[in-house]
Amino acid sequence: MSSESSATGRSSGARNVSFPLPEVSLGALLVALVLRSSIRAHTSQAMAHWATIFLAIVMQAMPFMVLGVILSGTIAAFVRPSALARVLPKSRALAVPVAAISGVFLPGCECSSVPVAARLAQRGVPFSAAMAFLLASPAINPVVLVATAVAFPGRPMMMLARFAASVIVASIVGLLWERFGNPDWLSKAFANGSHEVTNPWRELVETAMHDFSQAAGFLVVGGATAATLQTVVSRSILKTLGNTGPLAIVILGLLAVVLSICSEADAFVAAGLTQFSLTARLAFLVVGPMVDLKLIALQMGTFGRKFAFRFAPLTFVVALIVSSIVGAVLL
Amino acid sequence: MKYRRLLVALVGVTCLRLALTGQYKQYVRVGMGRYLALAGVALAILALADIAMHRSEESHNNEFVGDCGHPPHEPDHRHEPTEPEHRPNVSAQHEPSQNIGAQSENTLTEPAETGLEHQHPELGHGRGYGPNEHGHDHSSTPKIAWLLLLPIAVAFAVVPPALGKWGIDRSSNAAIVATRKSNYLPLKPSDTPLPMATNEFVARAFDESGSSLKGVTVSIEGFVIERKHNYVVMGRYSIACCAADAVAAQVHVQLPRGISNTPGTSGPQGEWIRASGMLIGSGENDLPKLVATEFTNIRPPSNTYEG
Repeated sequence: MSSESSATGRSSGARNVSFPLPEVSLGALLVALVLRSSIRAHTSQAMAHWATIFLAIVMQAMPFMVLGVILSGTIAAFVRPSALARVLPKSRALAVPVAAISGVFLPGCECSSVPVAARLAQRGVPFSAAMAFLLASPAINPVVLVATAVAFPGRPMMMLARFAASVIVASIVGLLWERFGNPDWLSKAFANGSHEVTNPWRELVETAMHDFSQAAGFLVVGGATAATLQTVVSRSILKTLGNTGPLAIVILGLLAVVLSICSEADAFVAAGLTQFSLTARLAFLVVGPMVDLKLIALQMGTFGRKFAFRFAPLTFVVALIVSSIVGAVLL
Repeated sequence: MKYRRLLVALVGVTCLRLALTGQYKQYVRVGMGRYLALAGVALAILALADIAMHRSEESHNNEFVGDCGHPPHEPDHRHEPTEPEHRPNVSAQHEPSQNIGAQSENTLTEPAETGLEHQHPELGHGRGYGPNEHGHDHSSTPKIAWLLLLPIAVAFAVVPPALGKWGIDRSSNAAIVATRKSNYLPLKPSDTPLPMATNEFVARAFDESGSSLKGVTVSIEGFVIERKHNYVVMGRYSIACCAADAVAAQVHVQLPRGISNTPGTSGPQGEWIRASGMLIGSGENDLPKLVATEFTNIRPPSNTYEG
């Protein structure tokens, strides 16, 4: 995809022979709509199952994504870079955890946090602090914490452990980026994103439109992948795998990546995984909002592939280690 | 770039339509309907605002055609080429700018053409806007955005039904019990069957061996997972947010003697039943067993999921 677009970017002649994407895509949609009765008749139960899960993930995320891009547009349009830089502590070692904890103020799931964090980084927030916010916010905002408390009746420590572990992981990953991160890993599109605002309302609409058309496209990729895995791999297969010890923590961490459940709902799924230890389920709750298939797709789209392929595995490993320790102490 | 508005507007209309027709209830929890509708309206407004703002700019810019390509200089003009010093993180040379509008690398290398370019906003389309290697023009249509047509096609051509018996995890009652409270208080016996959520029935059945249900006739609804000659395994999904996190509550329904176990009509949502009776022990696969006094085939409820 990118090689094709770069070719069209270099010579205007290449544009004439490039794939007629708009015509083909819109044509395919029209054909599908016209033939819908025969499509419906030939949809197998497995395909219908896939379609239900796919549409569920996309539509569940849609309101949060719209909230996220409008917030992102508002930040781009009305927040001066200096204002945000002044709010955060000067020392990065302090700014990163503060940014992680300020994730409490974005009541949404991971779909809103990606565009918001990207815009914060372009508006004067140190990148490491913006990443700490990105990681922590979907797990520690009040909506998600209440859902966690409800899903684990009689175990208030689960909510506390989730909050603590998420803030710690976000801070560690942010500080690791501060120390070892390389801005060259970020896509140029992202790096070039900051500029002077001339007309704020135009900027708001422009940023929101841009962020949405990109982020929602990657959401479709993530949703389709997660739906495929949910359809192909039965959740009951877990019962044949190890249920205790360090292996269980890794298994539930991977499950969180694969399922790509919204952070507002994952506690209910975790609570149901009763054959696993509480620490393993904590790992599920810490990993899910930070690393999952749809998030990786979103991060690739927003920050670039080089970044996402380093950031996601790093976050995954740190999340598993911190969850094990916090789980051992609190649960 | 015209396509970007079209795609965003189409997604908005899809959200709105799913919300207004109630089709969304097959995918996400009922409470989400109004937020989905709001999201749809917001997307439609965004697309319209994008069109309106661009219109006004185009007519605005036409005034400068006679200006022989001198870049306009009014302060609120958003197409004004951004000076490199405003973008400290850019290496200044041959970096396609991500600035808003149709501005592109042309405006950096050949600023004299800026005024003319406004008349051809399509130029921004088709440039190097790959999300990774190349900086992109803000208002171009990223290729990935075309994938937004997939959920639209799935929503209106496939019209996937709510989750049913296909691929159901037959041992999911433990998950239902874990997420619901325990220590239920006993219910008062009544003459008429007490309508109850299937997940509550299962949770009560596993709470102190179902003592809170003792002597109470309840009525539950669900889809048929399996139909044997004198019993039915019935299921009902609970969702917290959307179908991706669905877990099924399952009950063994023992049929009343003399009632024939004929299948009802099975639509896309599967075959649905209502059973009234009392909890008596457990049946197949350790499922709670409801010994039915009444048993009917019903149409699927408007909300097939329980909260």
